Amino acid sequence: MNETQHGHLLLADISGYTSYVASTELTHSQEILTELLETIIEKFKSLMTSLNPKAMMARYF
Amino acid sequence: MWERYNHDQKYLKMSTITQRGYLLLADISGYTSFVAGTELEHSQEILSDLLATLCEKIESLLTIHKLEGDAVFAYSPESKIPRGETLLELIESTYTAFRDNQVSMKRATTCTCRACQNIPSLDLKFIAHYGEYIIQHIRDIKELVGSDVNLVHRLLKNRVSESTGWRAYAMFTQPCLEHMQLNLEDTHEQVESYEHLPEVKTFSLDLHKRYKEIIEARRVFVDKDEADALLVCDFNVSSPVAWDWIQDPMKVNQWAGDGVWSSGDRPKGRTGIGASNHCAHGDGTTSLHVVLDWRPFEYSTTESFRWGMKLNTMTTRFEPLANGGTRVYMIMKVEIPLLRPLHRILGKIFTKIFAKPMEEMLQTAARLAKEDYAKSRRELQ
Repeated sequence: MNETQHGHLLLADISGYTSYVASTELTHSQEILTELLETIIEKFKSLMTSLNPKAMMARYF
Repeated sequence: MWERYNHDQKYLKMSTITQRGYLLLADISGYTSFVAGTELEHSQEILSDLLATLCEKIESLLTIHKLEGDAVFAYSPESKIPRGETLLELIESTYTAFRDNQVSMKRATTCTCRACQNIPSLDLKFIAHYGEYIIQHIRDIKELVGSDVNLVHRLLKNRVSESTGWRAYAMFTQPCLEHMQLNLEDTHEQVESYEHLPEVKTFSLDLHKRYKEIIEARRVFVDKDEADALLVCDFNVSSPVAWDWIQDPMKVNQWAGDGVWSSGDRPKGRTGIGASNHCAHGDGTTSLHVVLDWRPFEYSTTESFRWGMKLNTMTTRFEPLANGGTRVYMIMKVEIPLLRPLHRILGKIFTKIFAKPMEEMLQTAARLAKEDYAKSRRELQ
């Protein structure tokens, strides 16, 4: 289980996220972001292991 | 058309309510260089162990949202932590557990690999903020979103270490301290600013200094063997939640009979050794209760004064149970000097007269704690 593995690591990052969330109504902006992120996941999962929450975190930085 | 309808229904079902609460990040410092400079198999075992210690402590009060590599991200609605100081105490007791674990891991290992040798290079910082968030559901992934969520993450990259030289610290934003209703002394104040986000004033505590104070403070407690009276009650909640119900004067007023409790002295703006509470009794007298030892979520010891003399010393101990609950012991020693030779008899008299009503009061506290906790869990859903 703790074996070191090798593989591709891919991040898709929505730019402008912080300023978008900061300048919009949270209930609305998160609906739009949900839809965008779902689109990305839908495309990714045909080739890669589905995104885990840790990978999603990348957009905070 | 049908797709659009399904789409709308899905969003309606998600009931995206903006919530308010505490956001907490516990971040292991030195992680990147530790992983880069060591054997991955060994370093990840060490980190898993340290992160497990963090999670175990944090989840006794907050909901862990996720692990973020070298950090634990947790949150809690404000209603679940009405006594804000408990959050500070949780941070300090988590840091103490982290350091203790780190020391014992280093001691236990005879391994000479770089990962094992570099265990002391790891340290911990906490960022605590209060603000708005939404729980977003995408597929099976639950995600906390909002500008305050972004801010607490941005605050991981700050200038506190640069300004103070501190390796481990607990940073509280101004909104966080305001909601905790704390006026802390000994903090380092600093304004941080990030692109797209409003400036935020922060207050940080040096955790190395606090750790030293905690381990050096003399332990004072009444042992069961020297007790003149002993009360026991099981709470159906974790030790930080039970601690809150026993230590917060406002909560005590909900279960402790006709006395009216209020906060007295708070040295350095917080509860600790030398802090006091008052209780105004029905007969017009007031008793004073002074803290002699304060080990959040483990035990506290206080001495009580009334009618101008010391009456007793009492240790309240919190023992975690396997079912997630907490067994609370109140262990009391009679201190009236003239009556000291009679303490065994007095203990028996006390037990006979007061133990039953006191036990009933404690059971009321346990019931209220359970109900309150269940209510806050429902709000979390």
